[in-house]
Amino acid sequence: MASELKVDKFTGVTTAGSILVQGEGTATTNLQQGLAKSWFTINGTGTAALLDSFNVGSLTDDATGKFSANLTSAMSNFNYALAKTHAVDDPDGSSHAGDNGFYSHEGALPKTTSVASVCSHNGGDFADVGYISSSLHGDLA
Amino acid sequence: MASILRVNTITDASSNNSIATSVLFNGSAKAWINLDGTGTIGTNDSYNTGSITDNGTGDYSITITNNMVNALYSHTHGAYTADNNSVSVRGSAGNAPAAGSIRVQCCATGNSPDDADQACVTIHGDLA
Repeated sequence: MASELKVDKFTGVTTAGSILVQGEGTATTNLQQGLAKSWFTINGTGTAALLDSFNVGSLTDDATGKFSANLTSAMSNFNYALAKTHAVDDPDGSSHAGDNGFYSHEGALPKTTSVASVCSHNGGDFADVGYISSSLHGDLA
Repeated sequence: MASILRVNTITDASSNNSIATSVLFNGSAKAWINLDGTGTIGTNDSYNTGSITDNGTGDYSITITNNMVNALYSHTHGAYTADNNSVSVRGSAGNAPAAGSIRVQCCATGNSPDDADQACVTIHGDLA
């Protein structure tokens, strides 16, 4: 029988921050550890803008090809797992011929309360590109 | 006392933002790791990963504690370096992911192997 639970907050009984969820097979997975704590998509061309996001309050255009997404709820440390990519084509349809991959932060480690996302292409020169996407897993503060 | 809740859909108390529990489970990352690839490599933080192996410069193997059901999972990457070089992470050429492990390579611009200060891998898919 289908069922629906209406609730605003889940809290573990044994450990408040740990709830197991039954998996596809026999294994269980930890709900809190599996959830992305933030994700965002940026249009880095022109005036950089957040296209969509979760747990991001604002975006900072640090320099050409360098952006900081400022988290609303901070992480507990900077050891979170961050994944990122960017599209070859910008939202305006232009392409980055010769793009040699998606690169990440340069020159400094990520911060607790913000995420820096950097793209480079065409031999490593930083450039503003569209559709820069990132997700973040780890521990909230 | 530990308890089990069996339910198909979760909705907030205002009946908004409903989500099927199947989406909740399928959308959750099943493993992730942030490892320090410099010097003697080490795990900075992780979930459902076990040992890590340094196969060479920028070349790391990561075991998955609770295996995936197969090797067809999604793995995404990120990396950081503090040495003013760009660095990226990608799947290891010639070493396909396995249900219980994955091997990745960190490369600087020009595809040269590079040890990242932080190499990150996130896995989505079905657990065994």
